[in-house]
Amino acid sequence: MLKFILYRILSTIPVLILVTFAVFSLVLLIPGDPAVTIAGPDATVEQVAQVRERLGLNRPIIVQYWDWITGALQGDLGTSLFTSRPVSTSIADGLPVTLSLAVMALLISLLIALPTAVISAVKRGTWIDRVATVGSSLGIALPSFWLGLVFVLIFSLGLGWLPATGYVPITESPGQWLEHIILPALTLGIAGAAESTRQLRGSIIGVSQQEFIRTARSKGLREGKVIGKHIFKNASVPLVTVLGLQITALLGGAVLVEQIFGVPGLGQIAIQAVTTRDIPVIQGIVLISVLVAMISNLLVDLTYGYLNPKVRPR
Amino acid sequence: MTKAVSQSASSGAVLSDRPTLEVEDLFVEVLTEKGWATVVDGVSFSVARGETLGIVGESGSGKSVTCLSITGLMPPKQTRVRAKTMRLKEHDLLSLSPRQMADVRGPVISMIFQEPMSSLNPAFTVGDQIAEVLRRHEGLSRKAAKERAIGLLARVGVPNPARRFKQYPYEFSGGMRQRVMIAIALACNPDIIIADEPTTALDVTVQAQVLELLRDIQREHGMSIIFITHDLGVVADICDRVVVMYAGQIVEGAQLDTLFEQPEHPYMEGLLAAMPRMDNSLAELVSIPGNPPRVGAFPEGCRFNPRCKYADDRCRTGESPVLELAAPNHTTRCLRHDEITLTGTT
Repeated sequence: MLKFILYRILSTIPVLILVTFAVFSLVLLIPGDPAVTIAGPDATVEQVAQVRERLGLNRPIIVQYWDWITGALQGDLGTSLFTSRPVSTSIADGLPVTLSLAVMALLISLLIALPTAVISAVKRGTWIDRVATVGSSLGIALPSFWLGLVFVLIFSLGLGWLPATGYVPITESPGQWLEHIILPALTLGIAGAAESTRQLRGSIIGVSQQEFIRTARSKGLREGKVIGKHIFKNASVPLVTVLGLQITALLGGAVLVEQIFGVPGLGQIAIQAVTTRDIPVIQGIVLISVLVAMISNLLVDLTYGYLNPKVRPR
Repeated sequence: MTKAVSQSASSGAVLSDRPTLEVEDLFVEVLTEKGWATVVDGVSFSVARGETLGIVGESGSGKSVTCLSITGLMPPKQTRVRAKTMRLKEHDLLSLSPRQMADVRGPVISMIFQEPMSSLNPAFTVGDQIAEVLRRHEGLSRKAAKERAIGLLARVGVPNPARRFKQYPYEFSGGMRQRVMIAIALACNPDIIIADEPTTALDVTVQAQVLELLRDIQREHGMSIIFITHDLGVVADICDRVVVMYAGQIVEGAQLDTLFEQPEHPYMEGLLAAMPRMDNSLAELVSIPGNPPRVGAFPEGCRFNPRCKYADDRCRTGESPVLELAAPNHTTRCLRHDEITLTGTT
């Protein structure tokens, strides 16, 4: 197993190089010259050239990439062109916020999806199943910005149970952190919950028709054990795939949800950076997102190995 | 005229007073696209202690459904089961709740299925799948169950059992997996094992080994076996008594030798004639013309009549004939068994 993990980690390196290079060059292809923006509208050609020189933007792309990537490896992602803050500091501020939001969203979506999927698969064709199916269709169809506003209307403005906006770090007050994170996480997690429910319901039904499930019943195992052990371990393989995809989707979705609820996460930093063409910040954020995506893929692969002994290396 | 027997081929039980399993007038309906269809129609039989009963028939004749219904393994929402009697030792199977039925499966009755490749759960080790039966029914600790499971693996002839215990089904060959299935079925020392075509998916040499194993185990433990198969060669190898099923009904039942030497139903005669034989290997392969009727489309009269070369007008009308005694301990559903002489094997 250790060899497998090591192999999987090493095999991400070439992908990482390719992706980071693509990200790096893509940003340079965006129309508009950051040197012009920084130098200001009244700058002379010389002034723009000076800015370009100072920022190293006049060197060949490959050299710029090398500087950037070697810096990144040491935790130095450059400094923001506008705030002059180190990019790594901004990310260190925003990342924990976004991650905690994404993790909570994932948790909430699983808390909804697991029981719903199991119940509706077991009670297939009954009204419970139909309600769950309609519910998950709605969950997938309703856009998160709309859901977010509805939740704020109901739970904050209507019932007054939870704050509508803002954020408190978990290190400051776990209770308040939870209060602030629940609505955004719910908003973000609902679409995922719906998708997971559908996927898991389908695979539970599929697996329960397998012959080895009949074998499990023929042993006299209790129905709870047949479902919870024999069906579930096999049925969760497609769920893990979906979850892996959802983690990356959550990062994207977080941008929107953070705006709605005023949560100071990576999304807000990203939006600001994009509108001001703050290239080092954009590059840093994309790099972090890519890393998160790769780590979640790695976790998915390792989970496959646990769920399906056949894919484990021998 | 012989008198009609409403009861069963069970009158032939020789080994002990009360049969281990007694089934009388079993009807099973399953839900199809066109509504409820009767797939098992008034089946009666019994199995004595230590006896091996063969249930022979083509695919779709209702033999597997019969056994799955007895063990309560048919999908409940799509199946209706009724019977006059369904008794397994002291348990009245008709009155057991699903929970009580689950308590019976394992220590009293267990099953071996046809497909060893798909009958084991790919996500758990072989050892876990054996040990879990022992933990469930005998309340063994993890450690004790493991020890017993390794012993069982050794007993069914899996080499290197302690190492194999930790392996997954995909690491086993078909024959070895079937041995694992036998170990699972054997784990709680049941009174009866239902083997549903356990050798069909295996190579011929492996087939012989698995049959040998089943025979040995039966000798050791004195359990009864119901052996479902369409392979008359296997039947001749292992069964004491045989019932033949066609289109959801038992059409003939007798001791093995009697059945093979003097069949009393044209269907059985056809099956015997279709069996390839060593001594006339140059002869053409014989087959019964036509196909078995589909469920819900059974012909009037005798269900075998469209394919029967002896059929006359009586066979083609009215209700399907009842099971009659053709000789002591020999039942048949053929109306004309007195008038025709059928050839068996010699």
